[in-house]
Amino acid sequence: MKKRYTVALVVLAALGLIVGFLMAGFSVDIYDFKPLPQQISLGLDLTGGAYAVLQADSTGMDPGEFGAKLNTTLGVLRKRLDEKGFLEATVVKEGSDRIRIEVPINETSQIKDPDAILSFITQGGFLEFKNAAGETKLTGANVIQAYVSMNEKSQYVTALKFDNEGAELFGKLTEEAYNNGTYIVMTLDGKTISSASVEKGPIYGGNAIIEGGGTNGFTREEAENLAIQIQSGALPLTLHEIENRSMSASLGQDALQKSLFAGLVGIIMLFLFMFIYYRLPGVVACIALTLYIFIILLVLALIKSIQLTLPGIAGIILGIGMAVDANVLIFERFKEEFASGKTLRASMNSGFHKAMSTIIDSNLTTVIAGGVIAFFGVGTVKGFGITLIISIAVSMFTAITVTRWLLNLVLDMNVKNVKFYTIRKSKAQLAAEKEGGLA
Amino acid sequence: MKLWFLNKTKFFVIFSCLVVLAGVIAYFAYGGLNLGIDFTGGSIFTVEMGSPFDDADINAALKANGVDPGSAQIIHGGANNESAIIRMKELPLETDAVSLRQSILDSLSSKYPSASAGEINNVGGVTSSEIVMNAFLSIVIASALMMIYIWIRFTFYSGIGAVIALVHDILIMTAFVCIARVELNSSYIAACLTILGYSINDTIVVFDRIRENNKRYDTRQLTRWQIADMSIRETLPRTINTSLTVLITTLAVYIFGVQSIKDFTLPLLVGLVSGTYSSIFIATPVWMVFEVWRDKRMQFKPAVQKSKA
Repeated sequence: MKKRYTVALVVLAALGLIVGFLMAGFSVDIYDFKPLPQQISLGLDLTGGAYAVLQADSTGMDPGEFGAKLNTTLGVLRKRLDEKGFLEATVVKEGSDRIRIEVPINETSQIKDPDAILSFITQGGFLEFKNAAGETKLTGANVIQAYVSMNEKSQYVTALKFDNEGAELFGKLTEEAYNNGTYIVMTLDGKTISSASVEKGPIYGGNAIIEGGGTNGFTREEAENLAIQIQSGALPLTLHEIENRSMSASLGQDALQKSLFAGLVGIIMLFLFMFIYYRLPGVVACIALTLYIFIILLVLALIKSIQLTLPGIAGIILGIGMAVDANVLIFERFKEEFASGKTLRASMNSGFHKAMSTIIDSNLTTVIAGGVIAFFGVGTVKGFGITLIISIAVSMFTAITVTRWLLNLVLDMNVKNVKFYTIRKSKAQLAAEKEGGLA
Repeated sequence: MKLWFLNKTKFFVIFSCLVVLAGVIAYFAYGGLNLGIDFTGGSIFTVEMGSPFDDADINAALKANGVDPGSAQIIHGGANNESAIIRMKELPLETDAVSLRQSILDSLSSKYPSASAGEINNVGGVTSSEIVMNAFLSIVIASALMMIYIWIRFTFYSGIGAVIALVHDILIMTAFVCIARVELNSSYIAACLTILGYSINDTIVVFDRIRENNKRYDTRQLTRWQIADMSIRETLPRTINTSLTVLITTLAVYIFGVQSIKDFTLPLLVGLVSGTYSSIFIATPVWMVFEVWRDKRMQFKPAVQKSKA
């Protein structure tokens, strides 16, 4: 028994050290590890980013047509930003013919240069397939899916999947080129990006690929950008940049600092409550909660595509609530079991066992909600869903597995004074006291 | 056995209905929700301040010119944080955009002599109606799936009870923001989603105990209502402690947070209280009413069969 808890204490100390190092940051040789909280990508509302104002070209259009096209343009831009991981970006109309885009940019963004982001999203994305005579036979409107793939030369390519009409048209186009020994041309916004002969016979399967050409073909990013531009649909309007600048957090400059302070005060009060009410198990729950917060920070720092925003923080707070709830459920069960006359260890075990079905049901139901929101939601709503799922997964681990392990450890260490665990005494104990024997 | 919690169900249902009704009256009396700039959009203009600046100075200048600083947003822009991007929900009625721009610049000129500004432009809301519709649809789909899950794990009627409690909580929250005229920004959507998760969690805990006690006790010993009431009492320490801890944490964030955080946590606090209240006084009675109704129907059938035999 003694050996076991020595090992456990060493594990705990090592874990504490790792947590400390990761939180504070360190540098070894050329490796510079920044403090964990600084590695988390924050959203526009908490950290700021860049904004741009774009002018839409309305020449030759009546106002109704222009308005409709402007709305489509907003949707296309939104889709492209979402696909590039800028879930928290905002796209709004300014005046009658301008579009204002605000994008959170930080170390973890897939594209960091505001100019590169702008040129990516403002690319028209109008794809055409032409025959050798230069007649357009098929456009990107018939593409239902565009994705990155690889050709036999191990180069990145943009693969396309057509709808039925597109498959038919593409088949005819390739058949014509095959029979006449000519080639087909693919153009993007009027510029030729690829031209190819059809050597193996007409292609009726509804699939096509766009190769980068040259010796190296596309880079992965180029192929992906093209896929996103085609899949999101072509921009119906031409856009000109008129302003492009950096900006501070949209919740206000000191929002993050003050919110962190507020959160800290809240958590300290929560710890105090758990300690005063549940004593030793309460302390164990607090250790588990600290670990929960650390793991959440780690996950957020590792998965760069998740941006932390105010709704995201709400998801994490809900996770804290669920973790505390799981522990409260277990400890209340433990008290009930103990009051019925079981030993500390037996009460602890059946406390965990009996609370389990409640915890699993309540957490799974919330995961279902989180999953739907993460799947169907757009923008910040999606961000909430994703952090909620992560929070619940982590909180189940810390509140059940970690708490249980620590409590068993405490029992192994022969901390058997009932006062450390509960206020109420068990029937067995009361009987023993009456007899004047040992509790 | 005496009922402690479920003997005044009618009273609580009427109470909730009255709160929602008050919300509806407030909604019409005030002419709709107090939507913030995230939803309504408004006007935007950029002031080149000439040096890094303090938000308080801008707020003072806005206030002096009849713009409510509470519903305005100030963002620092530019490479050296020297430009102020100011979003305003609505412009004062008595001035036009051109003279407002000039008078705001005049108010700033004593502290920031080189301040200059572009024209005031109108701007759309960041949270479009599609995002709101999308959030609403997500909530509906999520509720439906949760109902199916609860149906599988518990009974069909408990799923109905849980979802009614959920709708109740969202309604109470919305009634509250109508009555208190809380300015709604996109964070309200997040608050509603949070309550969705919290409320269902709270309800499941009570339902789980009812399920356990239903196995333990026969309905001939205790009525369904008595079992439910006992289950609520048994889970009460947990209900109080969990609610208290979550409330304490949220309250601390409300007290120490910035304005935008306050706007988020205030409806959340109401939702948390409502979530706990509804799991006891709404979800459980709804489930019981349906379950007792089904029991009566089931009892009737065997009786008919017996008379035939």
